[in-house]
Amino acid sequence: MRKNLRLTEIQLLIVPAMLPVIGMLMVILVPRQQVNWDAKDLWMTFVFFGLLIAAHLTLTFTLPRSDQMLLPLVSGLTAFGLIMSQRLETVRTGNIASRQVIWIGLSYLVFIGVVIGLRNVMRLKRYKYTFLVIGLALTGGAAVAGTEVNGARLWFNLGFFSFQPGELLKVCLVIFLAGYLDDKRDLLQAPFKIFGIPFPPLPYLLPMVAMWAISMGLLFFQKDLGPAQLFFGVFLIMLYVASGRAWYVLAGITAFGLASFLAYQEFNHVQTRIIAWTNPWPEGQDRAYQIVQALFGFAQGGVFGKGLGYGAPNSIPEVHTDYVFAAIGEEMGLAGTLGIIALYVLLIYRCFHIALQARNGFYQFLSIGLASLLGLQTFIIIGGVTKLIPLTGMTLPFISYGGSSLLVNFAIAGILIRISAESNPAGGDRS
Amino acid sequence: MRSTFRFFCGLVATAAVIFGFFYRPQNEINNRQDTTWLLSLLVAGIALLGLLWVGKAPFTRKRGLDPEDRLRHSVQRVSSVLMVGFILISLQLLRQQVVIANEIEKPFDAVNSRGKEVLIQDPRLINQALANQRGRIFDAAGNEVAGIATSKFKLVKRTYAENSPIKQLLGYFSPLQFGNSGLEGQYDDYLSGKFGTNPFATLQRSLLNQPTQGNDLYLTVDPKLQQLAQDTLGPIPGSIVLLDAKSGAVLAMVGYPRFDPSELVFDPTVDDTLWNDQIQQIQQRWKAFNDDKSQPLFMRPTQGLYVPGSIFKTVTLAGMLDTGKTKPDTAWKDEGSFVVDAYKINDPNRPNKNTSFTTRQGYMFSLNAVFAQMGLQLGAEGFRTYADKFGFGKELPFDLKTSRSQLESTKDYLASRVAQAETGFGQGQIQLTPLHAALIAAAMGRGDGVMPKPYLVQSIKTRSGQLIKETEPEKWLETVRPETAKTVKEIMTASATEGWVGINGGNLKGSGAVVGGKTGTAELGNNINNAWYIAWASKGDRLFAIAVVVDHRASGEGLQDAMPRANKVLTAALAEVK
Repeated sequence: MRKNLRLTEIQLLIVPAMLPVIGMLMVILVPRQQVNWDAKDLWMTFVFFGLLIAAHLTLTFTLPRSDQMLLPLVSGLTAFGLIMSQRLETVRTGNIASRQVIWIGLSYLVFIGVVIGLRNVMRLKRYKYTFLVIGLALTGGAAVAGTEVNGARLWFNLGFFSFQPGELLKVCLVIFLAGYLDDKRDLLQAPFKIFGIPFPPLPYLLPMVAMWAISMGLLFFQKDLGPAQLFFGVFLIMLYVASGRAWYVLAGITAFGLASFLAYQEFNHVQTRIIAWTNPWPEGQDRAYQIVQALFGFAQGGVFGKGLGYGAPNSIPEVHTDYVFAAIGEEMGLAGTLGIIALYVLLIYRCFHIALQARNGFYQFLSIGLASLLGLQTFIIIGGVTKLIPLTGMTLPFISYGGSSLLVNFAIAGILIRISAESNPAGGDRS
Repeated sequence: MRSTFRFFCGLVATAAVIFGFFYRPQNEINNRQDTTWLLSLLVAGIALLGLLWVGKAPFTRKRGLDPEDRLRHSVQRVSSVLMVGFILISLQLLRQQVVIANEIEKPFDAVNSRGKEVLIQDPRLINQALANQRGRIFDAAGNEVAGIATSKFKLVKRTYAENSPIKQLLGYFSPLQFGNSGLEGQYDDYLSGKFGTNPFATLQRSLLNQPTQGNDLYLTVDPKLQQLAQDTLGPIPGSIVLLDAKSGAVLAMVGYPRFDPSELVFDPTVDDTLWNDQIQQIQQRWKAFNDDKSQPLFMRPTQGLYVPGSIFKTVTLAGMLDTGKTKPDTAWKDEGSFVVDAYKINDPNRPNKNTSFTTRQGYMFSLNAVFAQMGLQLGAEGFRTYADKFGFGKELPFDLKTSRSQLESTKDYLASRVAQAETGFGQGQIQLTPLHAALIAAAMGRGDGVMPKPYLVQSIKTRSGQLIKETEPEKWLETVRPETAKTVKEIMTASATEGWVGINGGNLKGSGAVVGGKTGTAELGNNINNAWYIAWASKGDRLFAIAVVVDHRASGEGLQDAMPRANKVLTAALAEVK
């Protein structure tokens, strides 16, 4: 009986549960310049608390032996997202905090739904082509009929909110690739030569070309390297894991590099991004305004930050979505940013851990794909806002304000929990 | 073999990171580029990848045979790639947030790709500087000279009492562009609230996210006398300094040309779309002030150095009497000129055709021949001793920046006899500030030879009126023995009653005061002169000291250009004394 109680998870959940109590009080009271507060100020915290309990109880009753670290890690990051959305709420952004609470609520529902509803993850494999078609159709539809946001036509405007099918496409593609690579795994050893030059076997070559084409299509429509980088990167990682050959990866990177170079020649948008990376300071009042403001924010933060609510992160445009990490850097300092990175690293490694424990090839590929999706996206966006690599517009998983990204990421967490449970039908508490 | 490679990789990675942290080429600092750093990170990243890539997978039994093991091996490598990525991000954060954070926060001048000059600076710093509830400045009558106005975005503008004559002492307040000068600069720590505020109150305000509260300055300047001094000087290059000789408090201090600090003040209360234009305008005014040959930004009363002419005779006289080399009634020969080493010094000041005058008469009628002879007797060492006692060559302690007055500008100038004679009546290489001249008058007028320490700030109080600091009168220098000072005082009185000063109205008849004074006309060549007057006036228990200089004036004369102005101001000051 005791084995079914998920005590590790309960202990680990204490921190994400308490985090918003302090954080929300800070960000509400500091601008108010008062120390008086009432329970109404904490309603979002209570909602979040309830969601944590609901998710925990669901796992306890349905999948008691699933991974116990995933939910606390994901919840911790989400708690930061909740705090930051309250912090960064201004007249211009509208009531993003209450919206974010709604999105978090829906996301936990999706998580619970996946945990309860996805009885057999193998079923995903059976419908892999369906997922591929759905994902491509949505993205294609958005490219044709979607609304344009920041020059990128990858949004559906559904009235009260905009939905970004690109987020869904990520997961669809990973599911498809995991299924596909698992199917073709045994065929892949055959050498394939044209004029004596070894080529990847056709089952590798075809999706490689297809993925490259899709990524390039994205690049073209979004006029941005980010999603293309992410999709192609995840694909290369999965390909490498399936084949074990670094050679393919190098070839893929070269092809992608060439295309990127062409894009750089072709699109102003991309050139701007490159300038904002190599030499942003002279352009700090126009083209590179955003990144320069973010760098100021990081520099102001120092080691321990200005304190939640005491900084001025709102001088960075769009800080609540792409640049939320700069706001964290300003108000929580190096301690905060390294802490957040540590959370991501733990989360990603936990996903790899789940992959290594997984029962079959599809589960392995799927969890590796999902883990590298989270990992790469985090790296690309954080690397971008810290000026380590050229910036590309993307959300910071679990923290950035935004519904589509949050929903999809929680679905990913649900799938991973499910995989961890199925890999461990009789095992004990392994955490 | 493998471990050697890994060791090597680790070494390269560490070296690359350390190199990147500590080596920054000058042109990259100037252009704010990170090329070297990013390249060293790239090297470090590749080396780290090498380190992790060849690492033996702990699960592998026979590599490449078992597909499960091969998969694990691949996963390990994939995770090492991601790990390298996050390590690089952490290093980048360490650099951006700590190592070069100070450099990033500095304002950066650049020319952007469209060839426009831009100033990139952190709006947070601007807002912090502009949010500070800066302290106010009051005159001796309790009128607010400088205050603040707060916008609805809680940004603070420095405001000034319109047409206040005291504005010229405040200096400019320009935290965004040029920094602070004058009192705003010298007392910045108090005005901004960095000093003098209760640390608990500061902590409380910072926790409540409220802007820091500055402290208020209360000046010694009397607004009426200051206004009168400003009007009296008029738009003529010069300075007037009026002191309370007993305490050293500055009652009036004006200079011309001057500037109005409200012309350089930035107004953050206007819409922020107009900020750039406003900054440009202020920049232009600043440039105009700096290009102006009359140097309006220069604080003449405390920083202007002028050849004193005959007012320096006071110092020569004090030195001669103090050393006992002369008595007030010692007779000196004066035939209208004096020749030293074939150099002829004219003496146009004799009141009659007599050829013998006493020391007292020499001072009363400002006889150059007499003082040239005294200069020769005092000698180089005597001049240096007494110049030092009177504060020449010393930093004058004051609430505003001061220049050092000087006796000689080329080394050992006074070795020559001609130089000693010239210095005796105030030509030569002597230069002093108007404030210093007023202090010399004060030291003699007190009759004890003590030169008080001048001050402009009477007290500093918190915004709620709590006293932080009150200035107590202090002495700066002990110039000559009290007996000597008494004698000099008596001779100065004689000058202001029966000498040229007295004959021309310097005795302030009807004011009921005892006055001592000395004019000076320093010849700068081409008939350009500095017209000087220093005086003290005592009535009741009050003692005032004044110095007036009208500098670089065509055919300027101490008696005509400086003394009447001093008389007006002194009369007004004495009228207040019951």
